[in-house]
Amino acid sequence: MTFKEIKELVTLLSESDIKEFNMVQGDLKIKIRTDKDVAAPVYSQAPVVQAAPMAAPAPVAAAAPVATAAAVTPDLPQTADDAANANLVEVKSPMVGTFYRSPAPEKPVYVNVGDTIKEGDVVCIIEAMKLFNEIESEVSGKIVKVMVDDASPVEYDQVLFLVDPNA
Amino acid sequence: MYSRLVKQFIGTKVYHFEEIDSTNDYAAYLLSKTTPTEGTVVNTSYQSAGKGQFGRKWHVQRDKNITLSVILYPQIVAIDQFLLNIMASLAVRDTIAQYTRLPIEVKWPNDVYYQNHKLSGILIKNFIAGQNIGQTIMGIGINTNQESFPELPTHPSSIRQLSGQYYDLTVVKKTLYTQLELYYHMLRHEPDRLRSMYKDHLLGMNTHRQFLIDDHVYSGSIVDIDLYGQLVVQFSDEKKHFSMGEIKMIMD
Repeated sequence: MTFKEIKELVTLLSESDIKEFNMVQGDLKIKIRTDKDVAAPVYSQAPVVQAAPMAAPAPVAAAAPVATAAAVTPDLPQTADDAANANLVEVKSPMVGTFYRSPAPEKPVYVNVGDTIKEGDVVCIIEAMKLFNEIESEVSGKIVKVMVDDASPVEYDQVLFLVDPNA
Repeated sequence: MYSRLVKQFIGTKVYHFEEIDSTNDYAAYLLSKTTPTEGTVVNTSYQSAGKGQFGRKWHVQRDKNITLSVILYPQIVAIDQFLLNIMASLAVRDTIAQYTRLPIEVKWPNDVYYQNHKLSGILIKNFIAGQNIGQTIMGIGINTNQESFPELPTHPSSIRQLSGQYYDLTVVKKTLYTQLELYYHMLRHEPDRLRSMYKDHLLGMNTHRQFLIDDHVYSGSIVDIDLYGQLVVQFSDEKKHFSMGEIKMIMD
């Protein structure tokens, strides 16, 4: 089984109601479990700020803490007027394609962690079938995290950036 | 036919440059500064930094070819974006077919060919906010009056080389605008018809061909284009969907 086939399998399962899937093919054993009952993760601000200081140029180290924070606080109350609980906003991919952080290989990236963006600012390009799509942010705020590596494939609705709208 | 009923809007407003680095870039600049009328065209006699995919150089001579960008506001959902490739390539195909009277075909995803000769280049840029394509820059190059080309794997040719005739670029552009409008109307109102017309003119459709996948050669035939614009190929034992870059049809 190729990596691509496994990926397709995961996509297929995530779109279905199947919660657990087991497969044995020769030496290969695959077990996939989906956790459908968990609500869409809501990101709390506090742990993220801790994990990814705004000035830090390399966001890589922040990956694990952010994910953990999301997993343990899925039902964080959304109180917009409470700055301490302000939620991060996800910028998602509107299509399947390849994610690029800069307009061309030799050009600087559109946004870095810590950059302040306005609604309508281009944050990345997603290329699909020779169509080059500049993705505009729908929110203003500060880029807290870049969720995808440059030049890697992205799925529909995959989170590309986390933006703090209150920063 | 629709275009006869509706006042033509593509090419009503034209920015012309004797030379410019990229008409697509200028169109993007216009969009960043103002709100150009839909159908505004940025046209040039010579594009000095014109590029194909991944910056491949486009070998064109001054004053011989059509090089332009059209600004559109399609307001379609992003997942339907392949319709823009269909619209542009069909319009270019019709235009070349009209002047050459030859069976011109579309090569997936958005090239236009006569046999193994590439005749045009299309580079589309979309601006997306949320789920919708708000603005589109449709960059189109058609090899028109150029008589010679460098040796390239794509065997470039021109309308002139195929027909032996010399054409007034303004007249050819008018044809292109008319066809673009026809298909733009279809894109909004009859997308399924547009998809089916694309398959009618698709190079290799329902014919046995060889394909390169992960450096291996496979035999199969293109049987469909799915809703996302992926190529659907039937092999002896299975049918598979491919994105751009995952498969290459072997040309002679």
